[in-house]
Amino acid sequence: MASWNRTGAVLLRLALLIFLILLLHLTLIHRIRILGVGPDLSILLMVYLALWRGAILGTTGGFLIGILQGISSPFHFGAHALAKSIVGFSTGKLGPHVVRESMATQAAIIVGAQILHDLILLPIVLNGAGSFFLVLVTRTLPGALYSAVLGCVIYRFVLRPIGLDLRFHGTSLL
Amino acid sequence: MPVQLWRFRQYIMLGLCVVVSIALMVMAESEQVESARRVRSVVFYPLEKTLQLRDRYRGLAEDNRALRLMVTRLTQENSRLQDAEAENERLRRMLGFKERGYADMVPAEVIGWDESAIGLNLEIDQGAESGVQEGHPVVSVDGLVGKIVQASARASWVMTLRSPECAVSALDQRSRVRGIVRWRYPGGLALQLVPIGSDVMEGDMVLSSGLGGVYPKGLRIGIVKRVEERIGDLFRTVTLEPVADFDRLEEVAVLTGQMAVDPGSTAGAGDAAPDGGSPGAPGDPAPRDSESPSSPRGE
Repeated sequence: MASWNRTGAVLLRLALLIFLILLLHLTLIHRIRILGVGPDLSILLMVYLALWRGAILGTTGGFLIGILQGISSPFHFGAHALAKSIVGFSTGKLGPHVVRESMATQAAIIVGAQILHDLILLPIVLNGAGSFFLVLVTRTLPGALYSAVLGCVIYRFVLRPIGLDLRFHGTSLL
Repeated sequence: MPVQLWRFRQYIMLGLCVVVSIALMVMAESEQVESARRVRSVVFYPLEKTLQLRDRYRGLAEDNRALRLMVTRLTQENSRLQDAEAENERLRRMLGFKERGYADMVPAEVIGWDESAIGLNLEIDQGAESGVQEGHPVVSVDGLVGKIVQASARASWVMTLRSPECAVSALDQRSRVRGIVRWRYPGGLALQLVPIGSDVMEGDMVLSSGLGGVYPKGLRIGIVKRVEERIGDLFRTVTLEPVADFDRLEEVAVLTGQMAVDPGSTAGAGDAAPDGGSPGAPGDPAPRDSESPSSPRGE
């Protein structure tokens, strides 16, 4: 019973976190862009979920975030869910093999996750409107670096205080 | 057997998520997805609106001063334009042209941004309750912003010119050469399908042509920034500087009324090229908006 309560509390916090991240993604991100490049908060959340609880929560969390993102956008329903499921799974599989609490490791994983995410998403959304590799180099990479820096700050000052602590690898929720 | 399956639960979960995602992409968007979008809109609307209001009240005094200056300037300009309109009206009647219609406007505030690596869509705080419908054009004080692609009761999504899906039939204000305006990456906004040798110069203003019936004629889109010709290409590469500052958009207006666009006026003497030739260049493909009002998503 106690473990169910604990799981419920964790899920409630996660739901609130996803809600907050999506709200910030819609209202704040464009204000903190630098030279037209902004971070991707949904990727950050997914990466930290996957590193925290492994591949299953990474995959399902990525899928759910992608679905919510699809609902919050007028186009490409399902594309974000596809990209984020795969990235969540890959990050979750990688988690146990790296020093997750290291900021440098987190930054490297965020950059890798963002690149993998856009490698899957861009061919779907680009729709012949530009050069795939140029977008990858001039938009994805700077955005990934920005996300990585922001991710480390958010982890230290937001995620860790609310219980998403990568120093302790929790058992899978599912 | 179940034990063996449990060992592969991570891969099974991945497979399920991938299959469902692909199914959602391939399948037509259902009523349930539309309902979910409406629910999301209802839930997020108060929060987005609150955040927007907080930001807006910060610069109110400064905005007020700027607006007073603008009103003074526009009053002068309005007086001059009324004279010009009266003269234009007389001339149009003399030439037997139909009167151009003007749409009703619904002012709206931007409350959400959906930005990907290459595209931008905006959420505004007006929806079906205010008469906003899918396919309605959206403008700012500077010019064309895009069109409504999704309208719920109190909020709507705008597909902006900075979205790869958006295409607008346009013409050069000076030379009347036509093309299609689309966002490309890299390069930004471009006037496409402009034949080699067409009279398009840097600094020209590009307007919506009214063809296709989605966007009314004469909305400002962008200024020609660069014109290039590459050997072997059939068309010139015309890069535009958008007149609307998409990164700083706060207020827009939705043109909700029926536009009585007069197709004849586009090709008529009133819009003829200064040299007296026909509008557009030789072999002008007479491009139209790629999306009709009946399919606002272009799907």
